Amino acid sequence: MKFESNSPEQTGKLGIAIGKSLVKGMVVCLDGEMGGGKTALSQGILRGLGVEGYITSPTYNIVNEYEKDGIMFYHFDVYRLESVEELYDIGFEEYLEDSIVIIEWAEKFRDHINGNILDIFIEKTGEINGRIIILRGDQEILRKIKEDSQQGE
Amino acid sequence: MGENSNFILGIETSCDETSVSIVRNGREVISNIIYSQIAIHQPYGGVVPEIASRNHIKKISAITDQAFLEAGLKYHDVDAVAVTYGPGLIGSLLVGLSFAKSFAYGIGKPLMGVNHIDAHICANYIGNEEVKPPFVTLVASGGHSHLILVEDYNRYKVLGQTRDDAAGEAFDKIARTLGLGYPGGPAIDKIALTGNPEAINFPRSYLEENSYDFSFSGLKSAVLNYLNSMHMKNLEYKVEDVAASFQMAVVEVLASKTVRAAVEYGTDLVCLSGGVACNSLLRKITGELCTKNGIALSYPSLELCTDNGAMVACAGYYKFINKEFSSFDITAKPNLKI
Repeated sequence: MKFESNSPEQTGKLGIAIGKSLVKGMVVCLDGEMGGGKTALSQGILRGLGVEGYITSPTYNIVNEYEKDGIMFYHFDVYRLESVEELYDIGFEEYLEDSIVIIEWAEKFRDHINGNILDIFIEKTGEINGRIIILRGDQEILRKIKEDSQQGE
Repeated sequence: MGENSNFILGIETSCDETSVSIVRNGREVISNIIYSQIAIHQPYGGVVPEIASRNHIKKISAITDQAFLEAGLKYHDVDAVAVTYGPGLIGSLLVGLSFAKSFAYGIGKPLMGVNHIDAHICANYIGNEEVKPPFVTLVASGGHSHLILVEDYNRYKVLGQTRDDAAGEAFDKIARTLGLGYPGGPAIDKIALTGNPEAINFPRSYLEENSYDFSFSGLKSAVLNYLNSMHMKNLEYKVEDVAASFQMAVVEVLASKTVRAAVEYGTDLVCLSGGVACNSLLRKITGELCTKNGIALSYPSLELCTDNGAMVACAGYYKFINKEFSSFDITAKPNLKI
């Protein structure tokens, strides 16, 4: 499924629609080059999940955590991890239990991530803020995201 | 050891520096040993977490012994042990925290868990008797960008913080894109000296009129878009000019919001804290704005701006005199808030 965005705000709005459609146990694998809007989309997703307050880049800490109604949301940036062993060393598998996880730069370890996955690729177009956002995953979830994203228009 | 001398051992391992220090009465550094892993992480363009914690384990005992040796003190001479327990990388924090717990338990002295951001602020007290609350401080580093009103020792009011990327993170990412290496802050600071800060008019993100929050991700995108469009049009650009213009866009926002906060809250002192406080342009522009408004400016020495054990010992001292001790089951908190 393909979406177009012409601004960080629009990317954020799509994120909100995605966040509203996610269910416990899901893993969002998010890829695209630096400055493409991975963090903007993640912020939208977390807002859609109901997170209030500051949502900042996880680059420095590798993982930021949020909570809403007893469910934990983990926002990873695995750019600085060098090997899959390092991913396991920080307790990655434990984060996946009964939570919702967003992973920026997931393609580095994509083969090692299993389960109910929503893959998102952000591609830059020729336009300055133009983005094509491609979603792959469970058909039912994708249908719901499409519905939600059209509601605000 | 005079009756009024308190020696605090400070341990810092939240990121890529392993540092142990002994500080007397919160202001006087007796020893401050810093082992930096920057050279180890340089090929990777940033801190590699697992390498970081492995190196902390290798170094921490020897660095502690060196801190005592330089201070001419024995283990039992320190009155308490202060350690960073967050925010930071979980593996790295755990090394320092576990070491500090065993050390404090071993010598039978109290333990104080210290917030890393609190420690950066307290670095301003070291060797500066005239720095006393209240003051406004900017804490800016690779992981944080906070504007804080220091009402009293240990009493902080957060006025604003970043809504996306930290200031130092923006420096690191732009430096990487420009091929200037890691860490990005010093690299950009240096090359910008020979560039024109007005060459490219990058956006300044001031957000809402009264907001003390920061946002650097739009600026990051603007720089990347500029480079991209130059490449596509086959036009040449000067890396020096891009670095200088980017740096000016970051610094103007940081400096003006910081000084505006001091004016609004009526403090006659501004302090810069954290790794970004090393930036020469930030020091210069903030200094000029302070002078215009009759406000004094202070910042720690370069060595005390970046991560170090002395600032942790200093923050620990103000907990020690208030008997705010931590229990031995304190855990590392990677996302600890100030």
